[in-house]
Amino acid sequence: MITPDRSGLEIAPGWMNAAGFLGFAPPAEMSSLPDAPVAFVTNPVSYSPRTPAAERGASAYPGGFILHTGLPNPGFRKVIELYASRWAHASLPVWVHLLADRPHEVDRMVRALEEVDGVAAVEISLPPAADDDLKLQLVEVALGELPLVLCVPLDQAAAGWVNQTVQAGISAICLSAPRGCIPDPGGGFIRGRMMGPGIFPQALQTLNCLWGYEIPLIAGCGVYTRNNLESLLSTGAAAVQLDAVLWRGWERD
Amino acid sequence: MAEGEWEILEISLGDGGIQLMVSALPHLSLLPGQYFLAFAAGRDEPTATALFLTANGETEWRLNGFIPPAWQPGTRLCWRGPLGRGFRFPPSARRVALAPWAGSTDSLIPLVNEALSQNAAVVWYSDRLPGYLPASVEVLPLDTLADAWNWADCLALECDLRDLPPLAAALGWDGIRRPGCQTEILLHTPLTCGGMADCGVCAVRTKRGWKMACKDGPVFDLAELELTQ
Repeated sequence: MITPDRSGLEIAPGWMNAAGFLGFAPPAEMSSLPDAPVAFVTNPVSYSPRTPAAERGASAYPGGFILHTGLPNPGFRKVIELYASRWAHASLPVWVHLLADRPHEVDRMVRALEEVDGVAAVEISLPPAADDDLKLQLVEVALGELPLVLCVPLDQAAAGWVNQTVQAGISAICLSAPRGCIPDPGGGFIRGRMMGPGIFPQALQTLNCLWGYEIPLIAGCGVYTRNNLESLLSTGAAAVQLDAVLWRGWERD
Repeated sequence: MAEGEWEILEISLGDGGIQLMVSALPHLSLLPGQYFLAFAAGRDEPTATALFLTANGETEWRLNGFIPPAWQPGTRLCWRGPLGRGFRFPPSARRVALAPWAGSTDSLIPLVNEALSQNAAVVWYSDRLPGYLPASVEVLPLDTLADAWNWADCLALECDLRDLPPLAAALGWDGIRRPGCQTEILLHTPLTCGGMADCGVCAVRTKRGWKMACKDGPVFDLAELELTQ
């Protein structure tokens, strides 16, 4: 197994975008964003192209909304073709977010990214339905020359498999949006990622309880005010990922 | 794109839903169909609301959209815009048809004045009348919409993305043949990111692949759209 190089990941305290919230390359116009980000995280990239979900939507509930997009992207090869040169010329570190579905695909994508200029880290998210063995396998093949950041949904942060990935050598954990569902007025359920200020208390609580991982923790979820951001940093987050607030704008403290 | 703050001067119930009146921004160049994203700080709004211009007076604008119930006269809104692609009205158009489908937001009304100012004849296809329509505008029921392509040299439509198939059926369009005249359509779909993310929540299937309504739309050339979304 490749010995991971944890020291390669440099995280300055501050904010970065969560995957899926600012596109595939750093925006040319940053003036509408709060302060200066410490890194840029790409939209999620899969090995093969993904189309938008048939039931895509943003469905509000008190305190937040359920976001379901299907994480569309043109596939790994096309993303490299379209955006690698912008990553190489970016003024801030670029973390490429990979959707880890199959071990051999993850292996190919990570090995290819090791040859791409401007990529400072790989961030991966795992299939929600994968069993613990597959999750661990996906993480192990993603380990390599680039620092590896593992996205863990808030509601799974204390799961046993997370500790196993830390032992395997990931460089950092990023707490990401949990999945949820609300009743569909037409029957059934609307499922997706939970966004909005209503989940911030859960994010702060999760960060408070996560002791013992000797790697950086990147927090996020529901951050809508500068006070939220400062609270997470002062609680021990190495950095904070912002999501839907980037689209809307800061709430006043 | 610009950013700023508005104070809501008035809220009224228009035919296309609740309308806001705010101070006009005469320095902004805005096409009908383009939108603003706005939110009221301190009101627990996790997303911004897309607002479309429905009337552009010299000093006040009227805006429409799915207005949060917490907004009241005096509420201050943070906005950014104008965003997206609006209607591109051909200056040569002399017979203009406009058809807001069910659930529309009166966003086609600014096109009425634009058409009249270039001496075009205007037909408004709808089963309901907006509060303001000049007397020179002919109003026809929606079930005669299929005739629009026999008469108009420019047709503007507005509907929810999910209503595209019934609208196409009313037009007699099969999704394949060329529309009878230049036809543009404002598609309502969640415009959550305002073009910042390529997130896909507003994705629209076109004959050239998936497009994002937030930046490639929300106004599209009808001929480019796939009927099955």
